[in-house]
Amino acid sequence: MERYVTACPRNCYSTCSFYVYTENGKVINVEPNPNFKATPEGICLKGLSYVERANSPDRIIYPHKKNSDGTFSRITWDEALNTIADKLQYFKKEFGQQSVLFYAASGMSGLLNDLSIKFWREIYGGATTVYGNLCWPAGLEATRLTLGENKHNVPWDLENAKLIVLWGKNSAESNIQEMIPLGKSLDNGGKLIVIDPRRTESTQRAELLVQPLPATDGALALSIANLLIANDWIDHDFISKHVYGFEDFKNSIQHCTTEWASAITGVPKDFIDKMAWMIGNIKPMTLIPGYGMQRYTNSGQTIRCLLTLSILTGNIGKPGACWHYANLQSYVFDDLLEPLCYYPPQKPDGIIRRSISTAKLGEDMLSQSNPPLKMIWVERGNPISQNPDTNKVLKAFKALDFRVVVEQFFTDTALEADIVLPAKNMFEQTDIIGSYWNPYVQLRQKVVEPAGEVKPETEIYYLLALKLGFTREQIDNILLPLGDEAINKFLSKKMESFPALSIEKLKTEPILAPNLQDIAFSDYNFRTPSGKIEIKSIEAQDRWGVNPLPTFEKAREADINFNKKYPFYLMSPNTKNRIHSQFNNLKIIKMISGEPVIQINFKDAKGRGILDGDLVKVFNERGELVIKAELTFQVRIGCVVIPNGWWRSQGGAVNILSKGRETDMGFGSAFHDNKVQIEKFKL
Amino acid sequence: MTIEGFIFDYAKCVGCHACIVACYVESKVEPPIAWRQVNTFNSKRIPLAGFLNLSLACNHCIEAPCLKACPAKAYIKEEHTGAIIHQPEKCIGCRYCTWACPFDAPKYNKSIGIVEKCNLCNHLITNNLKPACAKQCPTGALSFSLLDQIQHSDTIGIPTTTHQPRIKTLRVNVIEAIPQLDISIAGFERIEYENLMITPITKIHAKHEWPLVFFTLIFAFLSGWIYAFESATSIMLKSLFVATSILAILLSTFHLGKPFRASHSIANLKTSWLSREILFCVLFFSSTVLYLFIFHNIYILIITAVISLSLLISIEMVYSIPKKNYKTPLHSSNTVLTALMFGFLYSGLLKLLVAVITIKALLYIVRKGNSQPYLEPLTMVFIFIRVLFGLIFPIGVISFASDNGSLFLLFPLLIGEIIDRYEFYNDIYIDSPSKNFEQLFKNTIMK
Repeated sequence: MERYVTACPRNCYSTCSFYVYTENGKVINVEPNPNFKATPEGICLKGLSYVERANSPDRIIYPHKKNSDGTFSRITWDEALNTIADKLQYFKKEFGQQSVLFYAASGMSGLLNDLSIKFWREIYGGATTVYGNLCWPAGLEATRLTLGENKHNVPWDLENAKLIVLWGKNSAESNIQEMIPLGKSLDNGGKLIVIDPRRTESTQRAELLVQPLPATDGALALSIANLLIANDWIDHDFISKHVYGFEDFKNSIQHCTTEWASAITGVPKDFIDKMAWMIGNIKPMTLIPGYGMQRYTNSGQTIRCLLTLSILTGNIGKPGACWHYANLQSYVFDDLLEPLCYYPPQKPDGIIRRSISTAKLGEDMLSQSNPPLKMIWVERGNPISQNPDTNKVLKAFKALDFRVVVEQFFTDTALEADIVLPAKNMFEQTDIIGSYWNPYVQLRQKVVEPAGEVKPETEIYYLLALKLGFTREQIDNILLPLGDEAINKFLSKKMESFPALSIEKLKTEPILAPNLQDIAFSDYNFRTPSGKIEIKSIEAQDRWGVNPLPTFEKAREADINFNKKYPFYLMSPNTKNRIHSQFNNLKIIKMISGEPVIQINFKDAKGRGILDGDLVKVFNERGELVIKAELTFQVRIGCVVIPNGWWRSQGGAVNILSKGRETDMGFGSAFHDNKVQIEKFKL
Repeated sequence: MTIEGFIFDYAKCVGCHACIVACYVESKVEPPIAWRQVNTFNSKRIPLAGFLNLSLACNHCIEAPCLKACPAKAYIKEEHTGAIIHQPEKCIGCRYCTWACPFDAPKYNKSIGIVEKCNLCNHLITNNLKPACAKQCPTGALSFSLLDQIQHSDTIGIPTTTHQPRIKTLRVNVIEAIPQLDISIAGFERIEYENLMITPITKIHAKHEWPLVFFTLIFAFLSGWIYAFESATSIMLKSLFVATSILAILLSTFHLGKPFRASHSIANLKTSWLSREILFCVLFFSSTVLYLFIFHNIYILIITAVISLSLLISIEMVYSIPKKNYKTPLHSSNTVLTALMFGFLYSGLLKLLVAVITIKALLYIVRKGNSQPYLEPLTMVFIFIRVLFGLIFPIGVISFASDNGSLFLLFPLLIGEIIDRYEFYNDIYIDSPSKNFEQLFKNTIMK
């Protein structure tokens, strides 16, 4: 039995380091890494389920092609690659390289992922790809505009906070280990406020639970800012030294009274008063906004409103005082950090056409012309269930001539493929990963040989390049030579400029990011145009056409016309049981999370004659889902909840109902701006 | 205290289920069976009440009730770890341990017909490692170390017992941490609370226990019927008696997951009333055969009477483990009472018979009144039939009929008894974490 240090490469805050045990070339167990300060007690249920996942009989370990009856048959790599190479050459000749869409998502992080686009650019000679992102750009851009960059205090600093504000984040499910320092803070007399339409697991020890309607958080924040200023609960010294635009902001929010906010958010006035008092008087405060809130049409401005609360009270740059949104300090190898790397180039280079919005994948795929799309290549993603407007994405997929999906399991997207190539798992190729929460650089080690005929993407592209007529020498210069040695060399080269980092060191322990600032902005150096914290941002206005000041904007589907037909906000949060659409096909996860349900408040259900366990039709103009009802007080009235990530084939692909729209800034996806009607399902 | 055990901190558990997956990886037990489970109190999040999670598997009690109750000696206490180990090859699948354990630790695996249970990762703790669930808990809510005390007092989800479970809980008062929230936004109005309760796992339910209903009833009946036999009684009737006992014994094996291991069930006469019950059952069968076909004398009859009393007492003791929904020390379908009733019937002691059926009928009514705050229509019908056939009709016949033919009384009495015994299984329950949650719910939230 051998033990290795590795790191979980999922798109998740925690990005746990853990030990993995192997025996006879198989992963047999995992164990916490107690030396890792961010997740010292252990990893989550998904991490533990890797033992099943790595050895699952359902895993795709051979190339497959789709038969005319819709089933899949195993084929050889030679057949698979020849078919793909023929198609690539044909499309290139007939329509040009840009008729091929390369789509990759966040299924597995690592530096080697960058090589994929190199293949498309330098070997195939071009392709079409996407800009934007499904997740968090609105808040990233709002933070970047305001503070200059995205970073926050180290996770374990949270225990120093006396007031923790979880604003739309359910750490107990999406960032379990954050509950450790959070608990320590409360043990030491700290207070917790949760702002969430749901009474989540994270609210267990909260003093105050504020339940606004979705997408009205900006109004709530502005009224609190107004109260902070009116009651003089603000840090004058901090504001005069470090803040740009305070006076303009102060004048602009005079109409943002508690009455005004209460009417918009549905939150009683005394709750707003209490919240303002706590934020104004308990220091230090760490404000932790979640990512679900980033996916409304008004999200960028909402986050700018929230930011003012940390700024006005001077809760930035000190222990326990922090705007805890995203910590990109461990991404030391990236030339261009998020969110800037999501933006389409100002001037197209004629090789890679970045013309499809991630948010509007289906719609944009269908509307491409000159050339229109003929083929898609998908890796690390499951866009059919995960991107907005599933029906449209599916339509766009079906409209293509040829589809290749690199996958570990037969997901909704793999099921639509003509050729499915087996994807590596996290134990089969070495790579380096960072985290957007903890500040470590980590090595995701290769600990076993790939199962069956699995090949890492780097090798798939290599072999495909050979089929396209390139010589080994040519490919070696563009991509990487085959074999593990080249991978290690590539990664070592990346680390050359960081003496603290090396493969050998990372093999024994994760390493804190070079130049890490434990307490972010403790130097009060803000990389904004004014060099100060910009409550007022001219760049926001120039780039995104929004008000230079933080304002409350109504979300698109909060509109009165939607309310009549579709009175419920459909929330589609993440659950502890999945990372997006991964994991719920495993036996052990299925036992814990058996079938999709929609959570409906008792009161809302009562008016519609819906009983617990009834089948409910959830619908809007995009589509409909028939799903079992779970009545609960976990969700406030006026909202219903279906966690995202269920597959279509599992009966709960929630994006059947969502709309492809971009957020007000950052090229994010506003697919949580999603209203529905529900009724009891009748056959 | 130098014993190790689980330490569970309610304020740290976020209900993440990692412990269950850790257990699955280590023990390789196949879903849907899980040795550990996470119970949630107030999962519906009723405003004005707190919520909490409780992760439980086997607590490896110092006085393990499963080990005492198991008739087949399938459980052993491992010397050096103190772990209570279930040996699958010895298990007969009688599920009696699932009645004995108030923590819901033994899990019956229908697909293989036997029980399974947490083994405390004894292979790990032998090497000074922690059980997988405790080692892997990502928030540190569940740990395993030296206990300074054993949980004696009542804490949420863990019923008070004398079993000395090796677990200590911390910060149960997190249940009182109720966030201030707006109840109208939360959609809260005075609605029927019963709908909000998570129905506890019911391990004993009459409709699943019909083999036991008939097994117990038949032996009570036979214990009385034996007095009807004389040496001249027809061979047919004698054979019917024997056939009925065989049927009852067969019925009892129906309820076993491993019927072919039925003979193992008398392995634990020392501590298991179930073992004793089976032994007396076999003895009763032997002595009645002897009495009916070979030595028809008073001595054998007296021996049979003693054996049958022992058998019926054993049966009653088997049911001393479940909790009762009624408060009387004696209940109407007590098998000794039932045997007396049939005994008086067949011996022609009609005044005594009237006394017994009256007592039984009254006890039945009291039991139903106790066990249900309000009576459902179906229960009313049952009570009506039970009282009509088991009391009014027999007494009427005895008072007015000149011919007191026993068969004439037998059928109404039997109908009354079947209803009574069947209903008895709905009036008893097994203590469990979810049952404990239900009681807390009734005592706090519903008030």
